[in-house]
Amino acid sequence: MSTGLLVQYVVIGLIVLVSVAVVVRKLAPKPTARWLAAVALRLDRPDAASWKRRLAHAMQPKQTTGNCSDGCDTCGACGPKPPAAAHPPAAAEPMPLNFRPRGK
Amino acid sequence: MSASTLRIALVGNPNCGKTALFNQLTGGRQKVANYAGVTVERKEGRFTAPSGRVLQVLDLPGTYSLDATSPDEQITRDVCAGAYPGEAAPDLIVCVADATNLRLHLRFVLEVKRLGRPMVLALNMMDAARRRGVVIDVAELSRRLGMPVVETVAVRRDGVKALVERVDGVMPEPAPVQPDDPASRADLHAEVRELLTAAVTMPRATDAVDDALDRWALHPVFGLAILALVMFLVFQAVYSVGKPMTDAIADGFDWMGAHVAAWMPAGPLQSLVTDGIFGGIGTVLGFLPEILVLFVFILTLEESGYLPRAAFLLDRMMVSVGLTGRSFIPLLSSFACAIPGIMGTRSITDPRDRLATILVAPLMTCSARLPVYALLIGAFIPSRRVLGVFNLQGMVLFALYAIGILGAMLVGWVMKRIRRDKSEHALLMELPSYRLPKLRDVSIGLWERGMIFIKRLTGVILALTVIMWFISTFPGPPEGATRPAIEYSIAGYLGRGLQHIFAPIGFNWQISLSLIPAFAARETAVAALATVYAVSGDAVGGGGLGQALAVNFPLASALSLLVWFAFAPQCMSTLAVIRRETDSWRNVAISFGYMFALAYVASFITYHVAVWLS
Repeated sequence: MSTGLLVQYVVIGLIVLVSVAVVVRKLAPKPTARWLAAVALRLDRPDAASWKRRLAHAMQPKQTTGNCSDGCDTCGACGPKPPAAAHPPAAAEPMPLNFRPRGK
Repeated sequence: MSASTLRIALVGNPNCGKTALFNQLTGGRQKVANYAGVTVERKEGRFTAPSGRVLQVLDLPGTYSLDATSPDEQITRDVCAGAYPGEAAPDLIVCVADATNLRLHLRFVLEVKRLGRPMVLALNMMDAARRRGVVIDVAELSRRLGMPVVETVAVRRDGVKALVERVDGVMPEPAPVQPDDPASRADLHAEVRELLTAAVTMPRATDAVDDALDRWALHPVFGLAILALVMFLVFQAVYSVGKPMTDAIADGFDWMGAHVAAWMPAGPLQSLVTDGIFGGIGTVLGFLPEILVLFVFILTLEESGYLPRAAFLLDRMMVSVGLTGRSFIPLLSSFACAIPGIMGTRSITDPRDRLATILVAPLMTCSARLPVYALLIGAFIPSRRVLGVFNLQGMVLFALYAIGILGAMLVGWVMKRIRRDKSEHALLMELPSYRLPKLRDVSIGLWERGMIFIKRLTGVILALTVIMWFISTFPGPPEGATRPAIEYSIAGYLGRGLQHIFAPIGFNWQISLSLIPAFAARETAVAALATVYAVSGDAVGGGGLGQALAVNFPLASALSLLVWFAFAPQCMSTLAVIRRETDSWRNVAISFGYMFALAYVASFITYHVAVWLS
C-alpha cells in the first residue's frame, strides 16, 4: 500500500469516527452525556497532566434540554443559537397526561 | 443571581402579544403568530435596563383565567402564585392586554391583581386600537386599577420604550391579596363593565373589515372552498416556484463535484467527497428552496390570523373523527415538524383529546419528508399542465399531504370507536383580527427555518451520509467477484437482509437500506439513496439520483415508497417527545406500532394495485 493511500485511509477513518460520534450524540444524548461525564471525571484528577485536564473540561457535556434533532427549536437543544441578549429557554418540562374520570 | 436583578413575568390572555413583547425586550426570537396557543411553556430571557439593572423576563403561556384547565395554563398559574417548582415568585408581573379587546382582557387583569403582587398593565396593540377608534383614558384606568398602565406596540422597535422606563423605575405598590372564590369571580365581570364605562370608548365591539372578511371565510360552504383552494395553491407554488431553484442547486453541486474530483487524486477519499458528500448532501440541499417556499405560505397564513378561522371551519369534521377543533393548530404545526406540534397539544384541556392529537400528529407531512416526495415525484411524475393551469407534480404533492390528513382522520375515528369515554367538547376559540403579515417577521421565520435545515444538513445528515458511504464501500469485493462491488459491502448485506421484510411492498435493497438512516432524519433517505447509487455507479449523467431511480425502480415501487413515507413511523426524536409528553413507553409503542402497520398495509395495497394496473 502506498503512503498516499495510507494517508487517505487514515483521514477516512477519522472522518467516519467523528461522524459516528455526531450520530450517537444526536440520537442518544443522555447516555452519551453520562459516558462523557464519567470519562471526564476519570481524566480530571489533581495529579493528571494538564492536557488531560483540559481534555476533561472539553468533554464535560454541555447542558441541553431535550432531543429534537428533527429541527424544531423549542427545547433549546438544537436550531439557531439565541442571541447574546437572551438566555436559552429553561428545561422543557414534560407535561404528562393525567387521566381523570370526566364530570358529567 | 445578582441582588439588583429584577424578575418580571409577562402574563395575559392568549394572543395579546406577550411573546412579541418578550422578543422586543430581550432581543430573543421566540415564535410569534396571530393565533392563541403559540407559547406552551415558559421562556426566559434577560436584558439590561438603562439604569444598568439586569431584568430577567419570563414569557408565560397565555391563559384566560388563573383557574387553569390545560397543562400550559397550569404553568402560568403556578409561576404567578410562586408555586412553580424551583422558581421563586416574580418580583413584578407585567400583565399584557390587547387594547382592542379590553372587554375580555381586563377580567384577567383583575384576577391577577387579586394575587397581591406588584403589577404593571401593558396596553398592547395601541396602534390597532387607535385605528379602530378605541379611546382609552389611561390615567383614569390606572387610577381605578391602582397600578401603572403603559401603552405598548410590541411589533414596533420603539413600541416598548415606555414599558422599559416604567419597570426600570420605582416598584409599584401591590394591591391587597383578595380571596379567589366563584362568587368573587362573578364580580370581576361587573368590575370590568365599570372600568370600560369609566375609561374606554369603543365605537363598535368588532372590526368592520374582520366582519366583512369573516362573512366569506367562515361561511360553511364558501369558507371550506376557500380553505381547500388556499392549501391547493400552496402546493402548486411549491413546485412552480421551488423546482427551478432546486434544479439550479443540483446542477451547481454536480459542477462543483466534478471540479473537486478532477483536482483530487483517484482513491477512496475522492469517492467519499464526490459520491458521499457532494452526491448525498448536494441532493438534499437542492430541496431547500421548495421547503422555503412552503414556509413562506405557512408563515404568512400564521401571521394573517386566518388559521384559527380554518380551525373553526374544520371543528365539526374534527369532532366527527374523534378529534377537536383545538387539535387543528398543533396538527398544523406538525406540517413543519411533529415535535412542536406534539408540544403544542399542551393547550388541549382534555387528556384524551390531547393523547389522540399526539398520536395522529406524526401523520401530518413534516417538512423533512418534502425532499423524499419531491425526489420521487420529480423522477416518476411527468411535469405537465392539467386544465392548462395546474401542475401535475404539484397536484400529486397536494394529494400526498391530503393522504396524511385523511390517515390522521381515519386513526382518530378508530380511536374514538375504541375509547370508552366518547363525550365531545365544544370548541371555544378566540378569533384574532386579520392583519397584513409583516415582511420582517416572515423573513426572520424563513431565515430560522433555513438555518435549521442547514444545521441538520451539516450535522446529523452529513454524518449519516458519511457512514452510509463507508458501509457502501467497505469491505471491497473479494478476488474473482462477479456481482457489483457494493453488494459485497456491509450496506449490501444489510440491505438484502432488510429486503426480506420490504420486498412484498416493492422495495429493492437500496430503498430498504435507506429506511434505516431515515429513522434518524427523514431527509437522509434521499442522501443515502444518492450515495448508494453513486457508489454503485448507477447515478448516471446529469439526471443524478432522479434519473437513477427512474431507471432502476418501477413506478409501482415508487408509489409504494411515497405511501410508505406518508404513514411510516417517524424519526426517533418524535418518538422521544411522545415519551416525554405522555410519560409513557406504552404510547410510544402504540404510535410506532400502528404507524408501521398502517404504512406497510397501505404500501402493500398501493404496490399490488399499481402492478395490477400497469
